[in-house]
Amino acid sequence: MSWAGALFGVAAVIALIGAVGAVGLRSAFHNVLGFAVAMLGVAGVFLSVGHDFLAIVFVLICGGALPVVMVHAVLLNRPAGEAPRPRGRAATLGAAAVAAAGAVAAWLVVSGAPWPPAGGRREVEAAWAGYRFLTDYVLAFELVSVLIAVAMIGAVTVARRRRPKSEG
Amino acid sequence: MLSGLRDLLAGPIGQFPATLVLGAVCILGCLSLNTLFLAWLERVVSVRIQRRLGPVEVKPQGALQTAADVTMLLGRRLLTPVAADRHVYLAAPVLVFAPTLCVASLIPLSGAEAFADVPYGLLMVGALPCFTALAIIMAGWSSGEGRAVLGAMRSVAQVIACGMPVLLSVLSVVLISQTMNLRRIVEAQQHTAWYVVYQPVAAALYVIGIAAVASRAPFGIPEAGSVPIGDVRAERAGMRLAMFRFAEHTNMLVLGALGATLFLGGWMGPFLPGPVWLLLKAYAIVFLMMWTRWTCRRLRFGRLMRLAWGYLAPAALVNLVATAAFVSVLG
Amino acid sequence: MPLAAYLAFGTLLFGIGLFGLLQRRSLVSVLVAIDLMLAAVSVNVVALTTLSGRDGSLGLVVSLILVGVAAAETAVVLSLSVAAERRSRGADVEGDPEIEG
Repeated sequence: MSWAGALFGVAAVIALIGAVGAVGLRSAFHNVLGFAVAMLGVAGVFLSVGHDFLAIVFVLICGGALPVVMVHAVLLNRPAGEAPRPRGRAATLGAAAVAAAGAVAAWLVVSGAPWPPAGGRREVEAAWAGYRFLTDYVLAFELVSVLIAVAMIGAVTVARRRRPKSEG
Repeated sequence: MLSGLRDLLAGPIGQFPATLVLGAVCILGCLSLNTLFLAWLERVVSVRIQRRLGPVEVKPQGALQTAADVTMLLGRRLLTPVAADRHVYLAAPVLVFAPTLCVASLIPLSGAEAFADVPYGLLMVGALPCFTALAIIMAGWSSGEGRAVLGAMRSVAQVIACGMPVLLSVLSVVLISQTMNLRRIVEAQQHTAWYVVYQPVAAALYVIGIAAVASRAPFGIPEAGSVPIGDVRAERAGMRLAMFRFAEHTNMLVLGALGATLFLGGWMGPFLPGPVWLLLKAYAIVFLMMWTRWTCRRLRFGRLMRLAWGYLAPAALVNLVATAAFVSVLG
Repeated sequence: MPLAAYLAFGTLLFGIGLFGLLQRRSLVSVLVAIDLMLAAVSVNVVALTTLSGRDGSLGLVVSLILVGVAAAETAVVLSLSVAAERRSRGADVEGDPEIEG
């Protein structure tokens, strides 16, 4: 088994354990921590394919910065210290059934499509992707920038403290 | 010398595991020794600057005070609060410490040697404040008490706010050197001058920023005794408290070494071997931080936030844009 | 590793995220599930573009865009949490002079 294969195996297991914790644990704080672990695993998977830049970006943003923001949201969202009422058993089983059906459907679609055969593992340079961002995909790039700017402005506007109508 | 040791180890267990083992041992050992030395240095510097005696009971002349402190901390009974979330509570001090070690493995020690030669090393360094912030929140939340949570959120707000100018000034260095590989950045400084000459604003912002990221005074709100908001460290006893203190000093040293790599030319120097020069430069930055700690008054939290977001971050942005303009004009 | 292993992993992660989206009640937990699904999609796209004959940089581009989208929606969720908390509590705790240090 090559190093890449072993790394994929370990990283996939870590990611799945984190994901199960992210959706299964009761407290929202633990969900966020599970999410951080899952993103570390996903970064390992990217590393095993050769995308080291993407792996580092995932560790940095999805495993580091996003969980910090989410944890702030959890700490502010806590209603007097009690966890929200969990859903009933029937609802959970229904959700699991729908999720399984969705995953199976996705698998059938993805694996059935005729992808051209692999030409061996190639190194993908982030510089090339950056170049394409500025040439072929410049519209998507600018749209994402606008989206992030709008999200920031909207977030600040929604969370802004309303000045009281009367001073005093 | 280190590569010789690694080849020796590589015989029985292979190249990659040898690097891992050697790296782990070296980093842990060196950082531990350096942190102990830093604790002692802190006392000496504070005593000299504040013109007082300091602890002199432990012979000779208080030099072994650090050893006495560590022994005391090790001997303390470890208490866990009843309302604490046990697993997160136990994991948090370790996780505060872990990213620092990862960053320490990236710093190039001499010409051909860094424990991890990664093409995007500088980007990985950016992950350090994020993980430290997450670990601090874990530490505060898991104590189960409101004041600890507030203290943790303040620490994190400080780390994020002052991490911004650090990251932006680091980006300016990347613009000049055209690479994110730490080893190549040091090599690029061999051909041109040290980057502190080209990027004085970035260097100044970096040092101010890492003083705040490491929670050193004058940004020392988390460890201030007179503030009613609780502190993450107050919830822990004995060795766990020592872990936080350890992490702070180690953080200071590693960030100082990183600053030395980015701005002061890293391991380059005429006569002494590479790692010694790196340590000297890192300690210069650390000494700067210690000096300001014992000289300046502590900033109030609101003032700190205003300083960071109102002055430091825009200055770093302007510096970045100006650097980009220069680089694109000069080629 | 064969392409199928990566696709299976991605699909499994997507299914777990979908389950979380449907089952969780808390806003942040739903956000976590959505981000899990985005990460799963990234894994699939990256694996497909790298391990088959297509251009690998497309996977990188799509994944970076998805990360940007995830960051934007997390910021929005944070602001919604702040607004909801303030509305439900009613009192203004921020201006309390005892807390300011």
